[in-house]
Amino acid sequence: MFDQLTIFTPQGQVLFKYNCQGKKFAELQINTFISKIITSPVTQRGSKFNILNITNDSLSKSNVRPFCSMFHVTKQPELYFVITYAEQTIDLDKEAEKTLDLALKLWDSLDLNEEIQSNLKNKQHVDILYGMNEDLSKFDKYLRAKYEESIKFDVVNATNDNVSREASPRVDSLKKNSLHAKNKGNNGGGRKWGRNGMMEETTSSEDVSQLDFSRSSKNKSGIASPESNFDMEFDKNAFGERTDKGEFLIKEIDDLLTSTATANENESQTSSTSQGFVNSTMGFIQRNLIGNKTITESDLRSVLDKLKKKLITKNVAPEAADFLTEQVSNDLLGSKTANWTSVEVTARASLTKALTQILTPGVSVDLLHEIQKKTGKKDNEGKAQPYVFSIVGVNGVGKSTNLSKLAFWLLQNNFKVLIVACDTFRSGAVEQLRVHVENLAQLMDESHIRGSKNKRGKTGNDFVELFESGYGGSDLVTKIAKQAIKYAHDQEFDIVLMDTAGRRHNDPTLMSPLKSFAEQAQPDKIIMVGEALVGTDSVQQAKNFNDAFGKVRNLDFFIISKCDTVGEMLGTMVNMVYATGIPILFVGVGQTYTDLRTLSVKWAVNTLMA
Amino acid sequence: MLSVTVLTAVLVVVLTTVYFLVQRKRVKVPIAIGQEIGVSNKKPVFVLAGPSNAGKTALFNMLVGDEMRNTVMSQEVSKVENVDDEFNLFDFPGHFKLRYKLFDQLKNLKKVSGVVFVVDSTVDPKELTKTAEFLLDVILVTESRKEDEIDILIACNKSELFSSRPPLKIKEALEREIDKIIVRKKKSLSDVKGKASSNDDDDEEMMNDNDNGASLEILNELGSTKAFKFSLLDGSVEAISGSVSKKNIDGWNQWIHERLSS
Repeated sequence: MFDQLTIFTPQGQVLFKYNCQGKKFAELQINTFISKIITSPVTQRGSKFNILNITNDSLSKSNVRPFCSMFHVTKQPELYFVITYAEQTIDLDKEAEKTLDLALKLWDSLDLNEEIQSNLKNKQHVDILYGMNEDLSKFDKYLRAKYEESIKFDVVNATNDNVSREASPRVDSLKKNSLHAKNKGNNGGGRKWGRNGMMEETTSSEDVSQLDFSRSSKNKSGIASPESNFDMEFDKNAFGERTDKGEFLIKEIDDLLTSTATANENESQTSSTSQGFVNSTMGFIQRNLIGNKTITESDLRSVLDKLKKKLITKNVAPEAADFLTEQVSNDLLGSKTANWTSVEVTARASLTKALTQILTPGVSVDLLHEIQKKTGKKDNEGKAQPYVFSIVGVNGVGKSTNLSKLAFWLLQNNFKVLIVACDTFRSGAVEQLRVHVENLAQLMDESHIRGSKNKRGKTGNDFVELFESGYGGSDLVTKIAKQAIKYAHDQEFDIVLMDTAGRRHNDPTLMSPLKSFAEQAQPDKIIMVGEALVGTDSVQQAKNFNDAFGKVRNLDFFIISKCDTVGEMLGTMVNMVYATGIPILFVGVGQTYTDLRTLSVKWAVNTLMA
Repeated sequence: MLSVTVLTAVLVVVLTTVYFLVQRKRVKVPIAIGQEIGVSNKKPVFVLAGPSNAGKTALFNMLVGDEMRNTVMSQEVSKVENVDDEFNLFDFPGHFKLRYKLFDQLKNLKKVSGVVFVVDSTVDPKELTKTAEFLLDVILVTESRKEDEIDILIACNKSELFSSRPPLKIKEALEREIDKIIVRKKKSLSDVKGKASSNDDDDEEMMNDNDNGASLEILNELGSTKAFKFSLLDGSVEAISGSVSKKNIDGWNQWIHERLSS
């Protein structure tokens, strides 16, 4: 059983909507889906269509429960076919695939695309749905009928325990199935029936597991009741009764589907006739000179290869480059180049667009506002909870350095900052932070004497202070973190900055403490520092660190360090955002405390495209 | 026969020259793609903007087709030319990640007569920070267009709902929030300036600097006075309530038509 099935345009116009459970159509769920697509366009690929799982961590604050969706995007015109359902199981995936397939076929067979296209071309009708109401309602009627039929079919199926499902069921085979089931009962092992209702094969271990799935889904969806024999009888009767109208309609739909399928085949045969020399020359001129050419796959291939190579020379990981060029080809296939524009120029512009889209943050991050909001809330004693940052990353990427830069900026905004040495592992880590704190204290107050203690007996002064607790194991880390937050609360610090030990991202023993650390310390922002120098590995780094905090917590943003050392090769930025969909907020561009900058997407894109 | 060959050769040479000239010019424009950009006529342009789920696309349908349709979150720009044979209308997606489309086009579009900034009037004025941020970004772009003044309409949608706030309240709340944001913006870290690549195009760098410089200048200008007020802007800012779902958009229609006649 699905939640909703809908078809809409990227412009936000809903062409078709259907709540499979007969409830009111919930736009909110679809909006959540779209929002997710926008922020992280990289999706899981199912056997036939894309699958997108919306889990809890991407649903902060909205009151939508987690769901799974399967979708397909058509080109010319661009339409989204989306099906949503409660959770991802093999059974539901299969069904969703079938229904989506059906919807697509039905859509094609009613020539709805042609109508939309002609409306788009025709300047007179501004409305893309002009004159389509009739066909749309036809589509609606057909799909509902077909869908309800398949639900009926599924009920019968479920009571029969396991029947391989076919796209267009024949009623007579159904009857046979139910007869079989009636004779043999449902206490046997796995059986499989073919299209004609004959038993095809006996149990294998795989079948048994499949059987389990159908059982569990059956129980969850609550369609079938345990008294299967009784149910089956009932369903059979119901099926027999609804012939006169229901079946007539379904036959009509089936005819429609098969007729267009054959027509399409014929068409494809005729279109593949040989193209003359004249055509190809004309194509070349159009492609490179005068423009106004409909872009085909062969036009794009060499251009995209070139662009991909270029991206890779800029340190973009091959998989990210593949993704970007695919975006370009999706964007351009079938569209027309502008006058006097070559395919290459068009592709470059489209790539610029894709890069801009991927690098632009999905949420606005106004750190100062968030800090003020949190530190503005005083408790009974007039003290506020500090705003906690924790900084993670691979060894040697510049965690401590960027932490100090961040601290400097926060100090300049008149916040009191507590720097916490949570790196209890590497020798010298605490001492390194002490040097930073001394420097920052001196920058804030020139009279500060290096090495002196403040009134609480700690390194630093009134503005900035170091919280340290020596070296030790990973238990110590969470202990220090908790103590530090309490200390900051008592001593009225606004900000807590936690430096963590650098760790190799592909070592589970090093990564697993991060989860408990995040759970215990509850940082407001987890920042990952990634260096611009690293190449393809950055994809995996970002992914592993993002996954390390468990299902309920993600990284909040990246700081990309050492951008001054790579020149134009800013590919790491693309890789990290591509892998996680998490924005880059700051970039490190030099050695001094002031060399932290907000990312300018335009700057990054122009540098990458240069 | 010979003359035909010569003619073809000459033609090819001319075409190639033109092509290269055109291409040179194109490459320098950083982002200029999509059928959306530009309009084919000389009619004034109106732009629908605002945060997600405020009702922009619904209003768009209403203005274009006088029809209430189901909509979901937009991902692309919608454009319609010659609405009622009077103006061109753009509807931009409200999602944060897609706002660059609006800012890009708002900078380059010709003859923009007004921005209809649609907001959901049921939102608590205390939660308007993000909306105010967006509006400030729009204002920074419209104000940086020296050649023309762009008026802004704050269209307070969903007035039929019980929890909706009066438009004046919303406007004041936005004003207050924008004031705070300007203070914060000045404190935040500056953008990266294009020095990472040594062989950067001179023109491009100039353009970048101009871009940032202009908005910074305006920000300073706006922040120099005591508190931010919409009245300080070149263009006028008005807040009018209405409701798309109840087809009550007369106030907004009137606002648009006032801009048409002038």
